[in-house]
Amino acid sequence: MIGLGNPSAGDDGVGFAVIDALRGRAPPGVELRCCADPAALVPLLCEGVPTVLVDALRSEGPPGRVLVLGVEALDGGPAPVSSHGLSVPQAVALAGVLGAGLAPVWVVGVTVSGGVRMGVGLSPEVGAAVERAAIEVSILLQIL
Amino acid sequence: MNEKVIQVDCLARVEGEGALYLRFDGETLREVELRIFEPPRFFEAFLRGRSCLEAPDITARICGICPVAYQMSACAAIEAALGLTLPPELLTLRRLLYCGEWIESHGLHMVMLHAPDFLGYPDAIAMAKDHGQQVRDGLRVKKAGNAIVSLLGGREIHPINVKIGGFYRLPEPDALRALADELDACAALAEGIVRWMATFPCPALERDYTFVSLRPDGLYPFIEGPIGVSDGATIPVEAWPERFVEEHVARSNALHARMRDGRSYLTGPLARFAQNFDQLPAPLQTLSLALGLQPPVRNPFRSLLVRGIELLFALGEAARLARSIALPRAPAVPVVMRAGTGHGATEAPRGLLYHRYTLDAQGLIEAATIVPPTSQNQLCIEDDLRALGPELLRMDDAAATARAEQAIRNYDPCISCATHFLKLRKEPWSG
Repeated sequence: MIGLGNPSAGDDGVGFAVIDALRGRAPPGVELRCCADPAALVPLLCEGVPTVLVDALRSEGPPGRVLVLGVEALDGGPAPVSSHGLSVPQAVALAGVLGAGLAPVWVVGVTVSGGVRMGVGLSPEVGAAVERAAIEVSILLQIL
Repeated sequence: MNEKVIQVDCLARVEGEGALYLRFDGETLREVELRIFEPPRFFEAFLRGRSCLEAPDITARICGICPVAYQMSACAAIEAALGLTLPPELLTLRRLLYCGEWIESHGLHMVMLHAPDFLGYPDAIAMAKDHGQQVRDGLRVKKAGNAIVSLLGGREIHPINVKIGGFYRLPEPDALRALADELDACAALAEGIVRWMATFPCPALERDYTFVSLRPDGLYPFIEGPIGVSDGATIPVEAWPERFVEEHVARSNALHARMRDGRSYLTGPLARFAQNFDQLPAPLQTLSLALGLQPPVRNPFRSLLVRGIELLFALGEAARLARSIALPRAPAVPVVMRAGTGHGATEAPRGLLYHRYTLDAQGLIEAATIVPPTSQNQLCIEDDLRALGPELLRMDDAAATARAEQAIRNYDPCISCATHFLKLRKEPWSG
């Protein structure tokens, strides 16, 4: 279980918040991680362990929806904000090249609206989605 | 008349939004423009009226890959304005933090951004299919740099533990020592990476640069002055405005810096290496010479290897400091506000980063000037491209575009907030 994002960038911190919500209730053998730099995701994915990524999803629809996606849904995703870093789709692609083959990777996304807002804390809509996302993750953990 | 235009509308794998425009008339390269069209970010204006204590955290947001450099230059300038003297232990901790940033930045740039240029791959993901071990090693090296920044800076990205006068919190000694073994392991991996890169085909180009870098006594520079110029001049950091000037040019939102006598100048790894080679540990001097890096190195494409030598230096220096550092009694010295102007210059991974602040008696910032390395290098980048002009003209468009981009990436330019999109366009000569 890897929460992605930046807790200092408003709703982009929802991945970390979902991981926090799962602490103490994840089944044995499930490791909870947080990752602010997608480059650090690469070695984790190369371990060949089934993985659930939790991240904010930019969307034109209402914020706070919880979506469960296959990793292939990341194909053609946005370029990284900084060219001195990897985007999540690039990190997954690179891990696919470097690893012996990716173990199943699922994405639980929480939709957020518009641009990045700086500051700690989630909007009410996204904050309300944290528990629903945690439940979706728990369901996924049972089938992985 | 035969005219050829090479235009890269957006440069990939550099930090920021920039574009390249080369215009040939027959065999003559008439125009070279590196256009920076990223909107102005107004950080100097944001700082006015704020407490100087906020400057390290505000300026750290200027760049995602070199926030430590911005913090270090801000602290150096403001501490000078306030007349603060930090004990050596605190300065050594800052040196260790800076090592972390160099390791992150150099490791990423060399392996993930620049190596694909030399081997003809579109990006690191494609390169990893054939050179997976080197990419794995590069990511591990970068992670070791992240670990230093995380421990001393409080978090990996945009660290928050640096303050005027020192740090908010000191690291645990055991946590510091725990970094050392991994740094040693990464130094071995990095040497393998550098030796691998030494086998790359390297374009021929020799340039007569004026090098500008910090040039302290007895240290390879991170945060220590004064400024040295390769013509022999030594310039106190506070004399930067007397010797250098920033100019606005219409084609770019970034100011261009030049020496007041009109010369362009180069900052960054080649400049540091040229002026501080004798401060490198003997094994790194030997390795440099074995790889053909006799200082001064004037082929900008060899910056890949010089950056590699600096990566090895930072890994070794960080391991040494992690094992031996004596922690200060207090995380910071007391700060007493006073009016004044202070100047600070430190060595960001990609070159000299100069800050100047004028404070009022309450420590509020009345004026701020920030001169990043990329604006100082921009004229040199254009000069390099001008020198490459005849070669670019002989190439087909795709190859010429790739070579021009490779030349720009020699500088690991940091313009901030990039997109990935490339386009080459030829236009008929219109007189």
